[in-house]
Amino acid sequence: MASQLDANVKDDLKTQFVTREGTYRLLTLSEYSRPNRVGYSSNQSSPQVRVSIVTLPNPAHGSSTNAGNSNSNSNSNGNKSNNEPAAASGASPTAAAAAATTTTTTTSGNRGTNSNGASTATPAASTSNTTTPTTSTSGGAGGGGGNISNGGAGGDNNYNNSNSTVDARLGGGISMHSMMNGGVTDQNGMASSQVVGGDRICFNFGRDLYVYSFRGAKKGTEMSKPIDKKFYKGTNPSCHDFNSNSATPTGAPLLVGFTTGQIQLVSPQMGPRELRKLFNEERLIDKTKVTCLKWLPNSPHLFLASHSSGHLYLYNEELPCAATAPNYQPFKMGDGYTILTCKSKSTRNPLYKWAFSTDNCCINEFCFSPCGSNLAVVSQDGFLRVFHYDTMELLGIARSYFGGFLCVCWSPDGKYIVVGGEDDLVTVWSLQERRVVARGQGHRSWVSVVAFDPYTTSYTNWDGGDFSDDENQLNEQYTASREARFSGDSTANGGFEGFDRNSTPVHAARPRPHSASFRSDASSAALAPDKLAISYRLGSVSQDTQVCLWDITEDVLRHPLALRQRVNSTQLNDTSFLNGGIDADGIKVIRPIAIGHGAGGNGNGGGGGGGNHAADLDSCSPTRETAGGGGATENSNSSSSKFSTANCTISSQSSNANTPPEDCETEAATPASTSSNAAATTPAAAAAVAPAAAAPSTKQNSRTHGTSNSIKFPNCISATKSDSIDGNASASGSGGQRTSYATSGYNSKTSNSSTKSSNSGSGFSAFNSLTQRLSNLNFLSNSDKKSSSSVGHEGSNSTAHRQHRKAMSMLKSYNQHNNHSSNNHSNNSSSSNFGHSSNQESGVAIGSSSTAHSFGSLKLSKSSHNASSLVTGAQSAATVSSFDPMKLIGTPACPRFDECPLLEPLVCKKIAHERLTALIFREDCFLTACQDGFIYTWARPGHATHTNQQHLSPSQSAAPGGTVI
Amino acid sequence: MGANVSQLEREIGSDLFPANEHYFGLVNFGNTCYSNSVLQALYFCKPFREKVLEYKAKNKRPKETLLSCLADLFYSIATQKKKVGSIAPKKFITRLRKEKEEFDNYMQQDAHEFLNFLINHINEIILAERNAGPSHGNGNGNGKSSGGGASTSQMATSTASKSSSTSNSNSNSNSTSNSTTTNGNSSNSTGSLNAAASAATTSVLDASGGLTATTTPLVQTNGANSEPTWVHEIFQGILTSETRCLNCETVSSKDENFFDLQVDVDQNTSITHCLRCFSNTETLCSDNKFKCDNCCSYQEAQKRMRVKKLPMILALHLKRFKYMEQFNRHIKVSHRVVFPLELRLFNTSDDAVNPDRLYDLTAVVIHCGSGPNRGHYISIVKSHGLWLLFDDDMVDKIEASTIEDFYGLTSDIHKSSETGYILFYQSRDCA
Repeated sequence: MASQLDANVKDDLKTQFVTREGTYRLLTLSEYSRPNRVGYSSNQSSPQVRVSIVTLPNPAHGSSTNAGNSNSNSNSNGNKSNNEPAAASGASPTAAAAAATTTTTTTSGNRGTNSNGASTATPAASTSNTTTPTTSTSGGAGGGGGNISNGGAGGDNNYNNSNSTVDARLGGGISMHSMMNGGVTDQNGMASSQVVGGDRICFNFGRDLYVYSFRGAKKGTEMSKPIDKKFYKGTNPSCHDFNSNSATPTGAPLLVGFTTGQIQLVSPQMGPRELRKLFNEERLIDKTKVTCLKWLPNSPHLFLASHSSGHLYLYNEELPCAATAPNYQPFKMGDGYTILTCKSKSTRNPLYKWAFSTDNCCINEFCFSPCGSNLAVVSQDGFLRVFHYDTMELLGIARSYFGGFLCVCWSPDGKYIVVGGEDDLVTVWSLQERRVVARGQGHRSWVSVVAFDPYTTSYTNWDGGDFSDDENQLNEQYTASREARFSGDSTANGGFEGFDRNSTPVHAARPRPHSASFRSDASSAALAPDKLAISYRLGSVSQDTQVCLWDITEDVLRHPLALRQRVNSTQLNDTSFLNGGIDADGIKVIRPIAIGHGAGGNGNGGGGGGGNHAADLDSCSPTRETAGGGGATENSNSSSSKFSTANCTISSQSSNANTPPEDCETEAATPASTSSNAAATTPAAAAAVAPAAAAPSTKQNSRTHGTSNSIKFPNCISATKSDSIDGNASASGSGGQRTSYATSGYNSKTSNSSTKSSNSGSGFSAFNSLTQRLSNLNFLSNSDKKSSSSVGHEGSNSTAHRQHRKAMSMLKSYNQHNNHSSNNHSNNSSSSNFGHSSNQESGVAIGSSSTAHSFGSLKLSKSSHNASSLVTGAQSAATVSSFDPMKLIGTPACPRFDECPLLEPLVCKKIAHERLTALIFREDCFLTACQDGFIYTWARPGHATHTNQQHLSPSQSAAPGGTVI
Repeated sequence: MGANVSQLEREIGSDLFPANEHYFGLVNFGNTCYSNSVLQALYFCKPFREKVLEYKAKNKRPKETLLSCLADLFYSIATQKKKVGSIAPKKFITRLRKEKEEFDNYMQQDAHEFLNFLINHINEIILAERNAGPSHGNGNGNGKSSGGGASTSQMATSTASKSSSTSNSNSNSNSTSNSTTTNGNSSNSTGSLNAAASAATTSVLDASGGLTATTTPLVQTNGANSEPTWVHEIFQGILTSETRCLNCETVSSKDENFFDLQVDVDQNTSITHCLRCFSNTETLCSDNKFKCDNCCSYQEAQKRMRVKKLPMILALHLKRFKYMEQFNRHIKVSHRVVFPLELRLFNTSDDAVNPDRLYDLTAVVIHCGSGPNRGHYISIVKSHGLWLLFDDDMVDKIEASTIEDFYGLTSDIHKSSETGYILFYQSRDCA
């Protein structure tokens, strides 16, 4: 019935679209909305329709929350470290050991749950029959038999009882009606078993709140049978969050925030009555709308709530609600923020209040990092603030180009944050570098939700055997550190329970927060080399009714910040990053894998860099044509001049005397650069040396210009895999930026040719925005790569190898020179980072003083990431001193528009008539919600049919549980 | 009314009420809400208000002009004893009806047309007074009608009498095609100035030089004309239209002044997007070919308009009244177009002086109703961090979140809507 009603309206709407993975299809039978669909109803000023989703534990786990915990524990491990199924199974011992320590956000992925569930459940569940046909996810573990389903039924019946009465008076004459749908729960055990386990989806619409059983891409919805529906009078639900941590097979505690400021906890308990609690009932804590609610990643009882007043509150749901307004006293002051705690004898809610200093600071959303230790907050004042949650230190900020930031999401590996806002842009911010690394332009209106797609993010990996071992180790290390943290938290009581019940503020009770968090940081840093994301997949939905998918590839992320960064620093950075401190031989290990990936091709499978790049090339080439065509200023020889832009940049990069191999590329590049540019570039490049490969490579350049993809392919791989060439890729990427820099009067003080080369591009700065897009970069630099990287690849691989090794050794020695800290293995990266940042600072001299500041913070923060103490991180935060957007423009927190790589969407489709308000990636599908109250399910390629869900190849699988609204 | 205003005072709170600020409604003299709403918006454009009050201070006994009436009105608001209340802009309306025939009735007028007229007219008055007597003069007395190279070309192209050409220019600019519509700064027709500008400033860029080659600045035409008035300083920006001949690849550019930008609206978009569309590349072909100086012939060409000089106050006119042939009249386009409180422009030219100028939304003129000739105009303004809604003589404090209600509608079911019509963005660096 549902789809019929919409059929007419949907004429011009997309119901499917194609990416390189395949076709995404709208599942018309898997729509969720109000049970009785009516026609269009104006929902203009109602709160944004949001969606929460949770995976319930299997009945096999019984009602014990511990089971649930261990379940999600593995998820968080998967999140943090890896996505390998191996990881999950490997993690299970540790998970069992660390039983109740860690958890994830609401939507935990399924694979981790499955495998882990299987292993943990084995002792407990004697009979493993699958009583949960509803979901694809929980298939593995099996039903818990009669007891549990009865229990579930009991709970449901209780729902029924309670719903007949009007209850839960919210403050100020607001009342709530809850109704259970008779269809499901009034029936016998059979029916109730239907709603045991599986996934739950919750969404708000106007004054209504609905909970359904979520059935993924497999089955159609039963719209007439919501598990729960609530109507509120006098207020509207504005946000909600399930607690996956204390989920039971029958349901999970659900927090609901309201436009009038109250927060309600609705919890399906086994007891005689559905648990309901109200916070901020009399609006004594905050009168303004609740804008975002999130359970703390590792706690069944603590949650954070943000209000449009700009305040953030930490609640413990176990604490009673005081009848008086809280008196606050400062607990911690930071740059631009204050954290207050209640001044009272007994601990009460809110445990903490976070306040920010800027005007109009309505917090629009916040999000915990996958590891749970960092918190990203976006607000109407246009700022992204990233905190280390436990230490309450500000790690970094970013500022929108203009207008408020509306949404935020962490990358599955916790390295990047993506935000969207009123500038119609999708902005990617790097935690490690504390800077905006890319912007995406494609939406036609405000971006309401951004989300990383953890299942389509591609990673590098080592060869299998080593990998899983590493994995286990790392997981152990990780959980150990988590454990340490928590035991630290609750020293008095020891153990998890203590932590939770501990009524004293968590942070006050902690003896050694720094060391604890340091450890977890260290482990996360240690994970990095093993698990390098090559390409992140990102989704965004906007008020323009379109959904966009974006690919963010490595070359963009590595891309140095405009002119400010010197060349060798890039190389150092890349090198250390890629190799993770492995010596020159390590390259050999990487390279074959890379090629293998490339040869294997494959979008889905793990996405070697090659695959991605090739795809990008394909997709971009038409656009690039347009760019050329639409461009105004080009020479008649437009292509060559474009290339010259890129080339020059390369040459500038390589003109560094440190890296002989690069010089070959320089030579290759220089002649290619045309006309006016050549004047500027050549001397510098030539001065820089190594005449050897010059002539041949140039020839090659001209010859291979415009060759087919098959030739590009290896080049692309090399671009992503091999260090020096990677440097090129990013260098060419920066071409546009440099260009614009020169135009805007930024002339780098650094005398290397990068500045000069920027002149070359200045003619095209007009079309930077067109040419800068990432895939274009690949395409544009294609010929360079031909000239440069192809020297190695097409012609003489061995040469390239040697060169790389040479480069490595050079770099290493350079590292040692530059090393501020000890020279051990793991510090390799940190040392290069130091070099990196110091170089940057020298470049920054051009910029404003605030730039220098934030670069300072960059440096410090890097060191903190690399296992120095977090205290430095704190200092770094302190250096982020200015929240004035007028001063921040042109800094890493808010680069000028032409200073920052500009992405274009992979896919941009109009899928609704009303603005889109939610986007959630699941393993087999993704969900979008629309302000008109409809939630659509889009099947991923290969999941549209009713076939059993297949496990994807290990390398492709990504962190479960990274799904975010 | 009285109860309402005192309520406003209470709502704001005496301690929070901005010092030296007055929130006064304007009495409606019969469908004069188009004027009231625009005047309120202009009053809360700080630079404009200051200049008008300055004018009032400098000209003690001026000849009555629209500007002097406006100055009196602003002055009387600014010097009220009470903080809130309402005031009757009688003299101003009377003068307005004398000045311009179109407004001399009790019909609903287009607020943008009025704004356009007012700004051009004020500018004209200033120029005229500058010419008339050096005693007033802060200018150099080099009036635009007094000669100079550019003005000759203006004369050549514009033969219409002054008063009628003013009205022509207004109606012209409203009906001109979308992406290129601008309002000229001169009282003579927009077209003539543009023509002059194009003749004087077209500069041929060689291919390698790219766009960085400087186009002849508008100052040449304008400077020959006269020294810019404070109206120019506040509202005037420069658009540069870059045309690339598809035959010889030569890029030529010419500059045009504007007092406001008129943008087309699309459903479910942002003003940012509308502005980007404004600068979309259009191909000149078939009947509309471009006369390339280099090729000495008509050629296909690509053209786009970008902002070269960003004005201090950026006035954006959302073209919500579209002529529909099937109805033989203008209908209102209620599309939902969101506008942020902060704005930067994406469509700046490469030689723009301050391309990342940051703007703050200071005022919005809102059209309520179903069509251009009916309905009602109100305005919301930001003053000292407060948002106020002016509905003729009524003043209300509103929450910033209610601005959302004026974005427009996502469906066409409802005939009537309250939609942002003219947006005033003020540059932060001048605040």
